[in-house]
Amino acid sequence: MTSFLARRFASVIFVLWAMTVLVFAIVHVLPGSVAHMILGEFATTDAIAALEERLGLNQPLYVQYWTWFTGLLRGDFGMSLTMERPAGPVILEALGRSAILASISIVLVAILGIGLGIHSATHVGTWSDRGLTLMQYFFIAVPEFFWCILVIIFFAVWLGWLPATGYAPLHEAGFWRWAQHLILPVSTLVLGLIAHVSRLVRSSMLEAIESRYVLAARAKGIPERIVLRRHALPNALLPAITVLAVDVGILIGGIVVVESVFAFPGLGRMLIYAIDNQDIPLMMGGMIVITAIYALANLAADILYAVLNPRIRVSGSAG
Amino acid sequence: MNRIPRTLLVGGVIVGVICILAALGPWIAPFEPDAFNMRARLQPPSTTYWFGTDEFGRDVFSRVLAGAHHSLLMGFGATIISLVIGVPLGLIAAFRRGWTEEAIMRGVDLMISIPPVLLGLLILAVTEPGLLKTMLAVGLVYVPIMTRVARAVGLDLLAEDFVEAARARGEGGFHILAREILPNAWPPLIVETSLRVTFAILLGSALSFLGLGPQPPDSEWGLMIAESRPFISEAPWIGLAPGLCLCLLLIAVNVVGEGLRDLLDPRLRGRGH
Amino acid sequence: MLIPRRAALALPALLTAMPDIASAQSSGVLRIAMSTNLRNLDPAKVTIGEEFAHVVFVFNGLTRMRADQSIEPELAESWTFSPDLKTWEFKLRRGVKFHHGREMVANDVIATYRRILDPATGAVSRTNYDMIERMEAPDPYTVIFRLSYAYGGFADILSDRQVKIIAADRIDDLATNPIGTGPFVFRSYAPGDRIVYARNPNSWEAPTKLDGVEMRILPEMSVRIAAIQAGDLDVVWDLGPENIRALREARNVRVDSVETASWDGAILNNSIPPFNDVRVRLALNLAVSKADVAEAVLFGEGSPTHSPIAPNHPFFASDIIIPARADLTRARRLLREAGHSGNIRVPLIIPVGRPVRERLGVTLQQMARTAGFDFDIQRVPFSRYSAEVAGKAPAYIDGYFARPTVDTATFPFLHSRGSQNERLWKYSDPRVDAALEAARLSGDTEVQKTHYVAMQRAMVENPPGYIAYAQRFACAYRNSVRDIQTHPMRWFDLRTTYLS
Repeated sequence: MTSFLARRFASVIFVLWAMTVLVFAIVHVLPGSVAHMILGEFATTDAIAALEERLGLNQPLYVQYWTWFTGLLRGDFGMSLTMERPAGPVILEALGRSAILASISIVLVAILGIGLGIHSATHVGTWSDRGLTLMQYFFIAVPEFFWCILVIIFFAVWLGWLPATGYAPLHEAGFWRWAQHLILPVSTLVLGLIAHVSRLVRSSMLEAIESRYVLAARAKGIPERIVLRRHALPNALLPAITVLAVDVGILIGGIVVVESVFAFPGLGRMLIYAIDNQDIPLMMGGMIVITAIYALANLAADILYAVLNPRIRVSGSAG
Repeated sequence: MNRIPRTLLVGGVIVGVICILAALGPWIAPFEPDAFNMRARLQPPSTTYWFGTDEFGRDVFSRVLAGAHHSLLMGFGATIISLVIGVPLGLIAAFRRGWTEEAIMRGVDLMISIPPVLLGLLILAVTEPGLLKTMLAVGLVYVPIMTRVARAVGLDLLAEDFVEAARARGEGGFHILAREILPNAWPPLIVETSLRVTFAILLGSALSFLGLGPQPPDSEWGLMIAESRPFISEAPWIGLAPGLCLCLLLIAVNVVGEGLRDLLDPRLRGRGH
Repeated sequence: MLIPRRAALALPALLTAMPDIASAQSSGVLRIAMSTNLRNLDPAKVTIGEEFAHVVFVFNGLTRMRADQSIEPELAESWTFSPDLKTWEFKLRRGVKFHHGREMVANDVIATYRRILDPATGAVSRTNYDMIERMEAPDPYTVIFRLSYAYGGFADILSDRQVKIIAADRIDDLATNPIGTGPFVFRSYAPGDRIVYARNPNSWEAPTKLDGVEMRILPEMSVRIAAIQAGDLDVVWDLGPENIRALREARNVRVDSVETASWDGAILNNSIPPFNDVRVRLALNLAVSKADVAEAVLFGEGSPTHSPIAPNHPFFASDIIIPARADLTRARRLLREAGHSGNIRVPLIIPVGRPVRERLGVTLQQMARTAGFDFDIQRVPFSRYSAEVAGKAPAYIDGYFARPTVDTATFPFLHSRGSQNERLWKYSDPRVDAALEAARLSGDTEVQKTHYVAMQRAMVENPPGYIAYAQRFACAYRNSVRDIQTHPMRWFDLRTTYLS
């Protein structure tokens, strides 16, 4: 067990380091230059050269990479080129705000996704199950960006129920307004994922319910509820957990779009700003943070899976 | 062979109809998709303009028809790319094990660590946008997943008896891959592929929404939705029409994928993603 | 803990019924919606409209521009100039305090301009002030500028956004904590979210009625519109022309739009084919009716023009008729004479994220097709413009904000040695050069007008590109916002504004 953990952890470290190289490489292949961006269209060539010198942009690439990488290890993300302030606090503040969205979303997805999936599996064929299945088909197929637009049209423009802007600081606006502002962006993020997770849980539960172990337990006369809880549920949860980890990635992707549309000042929006303005330190810092979170989520899922696995017999090998 | 599931039929028919409409689009559209008509701007849906008109007076229905092929090409093209690159990689990893496998799977881990939207954004920020490049980018984004699935399938099959028998007969690696593994690997691969098409269409239209796909005045559905944003309050049909069609296409493709899964490999119903 | 089903269903209604305390106007803070992130808080480096608004809240200049575009004294009480227009003496106001307490003196003024002129600062507007040769401060309240050439409009250009007076001892903090003398004190900036300002209680003018200002950054226009209708915002800055119709109907919200000299157009590179031939440039101007373009792109919120001089300006050459319809025959004939018998295929670059200019590109492409122009649209993010597009691409869509004087709006762009011409269209016309130089040498507006009219006449015969229209600038205000003016330079003068 420990050797497995050690190997996985080492793999994550390797992936993170390789990410820094990849991110650096891609960002520096991007056309355009930040000096041009800052100085505007009419900059003279020597003004551009002077600015690039000042910003350290004309040093060889490996030197720039090394400076950046060693800075990262110290926790220093460098200076935002366009905003002339340290990039670290900007990234971390944005991360904090996105984390609010993400954690509320993940919790909702886990609770509602698993809950609805179990309900569906134990009430197969009823109206609620059929209704749920129909909704699942729908929600999985709606693109994030379209959801945002639909939701804005319905709730903010036509009905005027909910505030259309995504963020009100908690200390300023009080709890209810803060929560109100989060309803639209969070629901846009979670609906597709809840559909996805609940489908998965439903089919896993169904398969587990029909498995040999459950039949054997039933034959022994164990009450249905205990059968479900001890034997069917754990088998159903396993794929759900791995899927939740993958969903973190989808959530991150969704967050980028949702934050733009709802004007939520999180990491996704900061990243788009950085890409639009060629703010290299901000871009690289943001991407490393996002991929680190993603890699760690995958690691967590792998660990959970391994921990739960030996205690449960799973039918067939997992893909 | 099982009876063809209803889901497959229904989904297949819808997708088929959309494909036919997309292919015939330019010819059956009631108006020129590009034609400006200043007197008929921002008109709501009516008998003349089934989906209304946009800010230039262009007929939204005609534009939706003309743009349909982008989403279809994106979905199927990108998936085929990921198949063509990912499956051989995965099968080789499964077969060779050892050093080759490690290298391939580490690379896969790396690519999977980047959220798809980000990867697509980066690939496209480097080049000029366009349908082909977006298709390539989306295809590349999904190569790692295909590789993983192909490897898992390969590992499963390698344990089977007939492969042992082939090895005992002295058949070389390539032969085994081509003659024994590939023919049996198709069912789970096809199922995975059909699911990928949904995601490929989604990612492709998300990238177009962000400005990195086909260019104006092409009427790719994601681009149309993006261009409709300034007019949401005044003329929501400009964005609703392509959006709802996109949803319809995605649901249909999803249903086909489910149907294929029911047909080809009911065992897979319980598997994780 | 399981929430009873009925209670769970009631939750959304409960949440939305909560009293909207924070939006009641007890705090007197004006909430303005902006569309993009501010990159720079330092006046010397501001380039976009949102940053211009910021600069006017926190800083003052030597002179100030009113909403009717006339100039009045601000930090300079009065000024005199020598007959040769090369020596200018400004008397500074006394007792003006910076936000950190120190009095503003001549040294601060000199530090400001020295900084602008220093290439290391990287100030975009440096070339606008290259006539300043020397500055002197005989006493703490007097500044003398010695110019290398005569410039009649010198006092005017000192009102511009980039030359607001900064504190000489707070230069390093400008990016994070800008200190000025303006009506509002900078409090905080959360990038991507909002900037917060508070009233300056020690202002040299009467303190503002508003307690403070918040600029909120909301990129999605539909969100801004929904927010102002819901009362979450007081002002929407730069309302797009497509949204003006929608808001004119709304209760509680009024829309105000003014003519400005901000213009958009297609920049055609005069040094590479196909637009290096004046006949091809002329053909494009004839083939696409500017009236149609203004209607299509701006929904009527703007008017066609020949040059960066706006149609409502006294110097506009109103006797040169702008044709109401395209002249396709003449356009095609010119193209044939220039050697293009079939279609001309040209890439046309349009900026991502600027919906009005994107519409201009699509409109131009569509309308120019019948004359034989086959434009291939490429959407390029604006961040790549200066590196790849400006001065290099054969045709691209761009636009420029209004400048404080006609000279600064025309000379850098249109004079063959203009500082911005080289990275724009590389245009050269001796008649235009002569007119621009002559206009500078006179202080008499009638004389200046004749020169600028001559310039416009020359531009119509030899167009540098396709200057489409001068756009109106519109803002939306909630009815509770009183005594606020929409300024054609796109900033807000909030000295007497209040919320009722």
